[in-house]
Amino acid sequence: MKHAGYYNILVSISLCVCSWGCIGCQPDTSCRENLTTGVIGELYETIWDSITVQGIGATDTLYNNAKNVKKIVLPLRNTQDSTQFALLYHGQTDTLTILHTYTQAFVSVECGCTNEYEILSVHHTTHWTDTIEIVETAVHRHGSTNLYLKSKK
Amino acid sequence: MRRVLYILSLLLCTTLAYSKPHVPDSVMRKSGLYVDHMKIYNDSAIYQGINLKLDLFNTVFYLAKYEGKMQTYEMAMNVRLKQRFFPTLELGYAKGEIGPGSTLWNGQGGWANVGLDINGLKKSASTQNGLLVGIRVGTAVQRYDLTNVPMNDPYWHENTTTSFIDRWRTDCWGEVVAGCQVQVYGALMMGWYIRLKMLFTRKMNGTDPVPYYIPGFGYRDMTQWGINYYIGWKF
Repeated sequence: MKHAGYYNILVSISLCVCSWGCIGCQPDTSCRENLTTGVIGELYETIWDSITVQGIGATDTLYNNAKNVKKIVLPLRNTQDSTQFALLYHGQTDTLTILHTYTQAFVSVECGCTNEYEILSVHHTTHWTDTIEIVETAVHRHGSTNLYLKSKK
Repeated sequence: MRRVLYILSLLLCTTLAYSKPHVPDSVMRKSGLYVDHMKIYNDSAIYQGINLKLDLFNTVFYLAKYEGKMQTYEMAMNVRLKQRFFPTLELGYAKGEIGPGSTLWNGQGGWANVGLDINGLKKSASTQNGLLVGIRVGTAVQRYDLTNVPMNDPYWHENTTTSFIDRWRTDCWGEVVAGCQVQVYGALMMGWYIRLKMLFTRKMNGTDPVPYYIPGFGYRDMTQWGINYYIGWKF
């Protein structure tokens, strides 16, 4: 057979490729995206030298006496239209209530979904917080600062 | 999986074993217009016949891998022009219920590839054998459900799942292919292709989910490899 040499080489290559293909053709199913979606809050014109933040109703602390914090990220609830946080600063605790809407957003098959939010209004107590200004109502992944908090001090 | 590879290797070896020995064109022409039920075309003829092929590899592979939960069928047609060029049309259909982890893609759709192969072997009227390289442009339309998609909340621990039902999507891609086709006996052909596919439609439509699997392309990714093992008939 004149072309037998060609075909033998091709068969060898094809078997290698087939073996590789059978093993490797399914995509990696691990999620490598950052799915954190939360309200980004900043202390106006300064930083928090020490702050503790916890979601009201959550078991974990978001920031535990964290030092020199420029921005805090406050994750909103997936299934409710309001989320509350306790912010402890200089020995005084303020409660922050964020009213919001939420919309499901598909990320990928590997990562699943996340929520995108729209801030409707913000309410707070005034122990150490003077005012809170909403600068961006849309809350999504890779978002920018949403709230500016002004301290009384 | 090993069984699939074993069957494939047997098929490839069969292609070799039964491939038609090369006979000089002059001898073939002297013997008449038809040899082994194969029409011999004049060298100068533009049209040199048509091949209809059925893919076996993907049908068997997906049936075996997903235990019958995934079916894919593909047929191809190419026209031989000037013993060198093979304009090609490939049509297929896939249906399945598969997914990574708990998420499930349940969909069905059809696809079409058009392209051109070039035969790298020496021109010959007496044999339909070809060492082919070519390109394809493919498109697929599918209707699908994506169910049990997780939404995990590591802080509030409000983990939920959601489903996207009755979605439609069209995808497009390009392919570079290489392979061979061999005249096994009479008009019976066998051959295989390796394909490197590049997806063009990478963006999501708003917040709509993208499917896990694209008929004709494979698992959704930027690039994907594909293999075909064809059995066909020369007309």
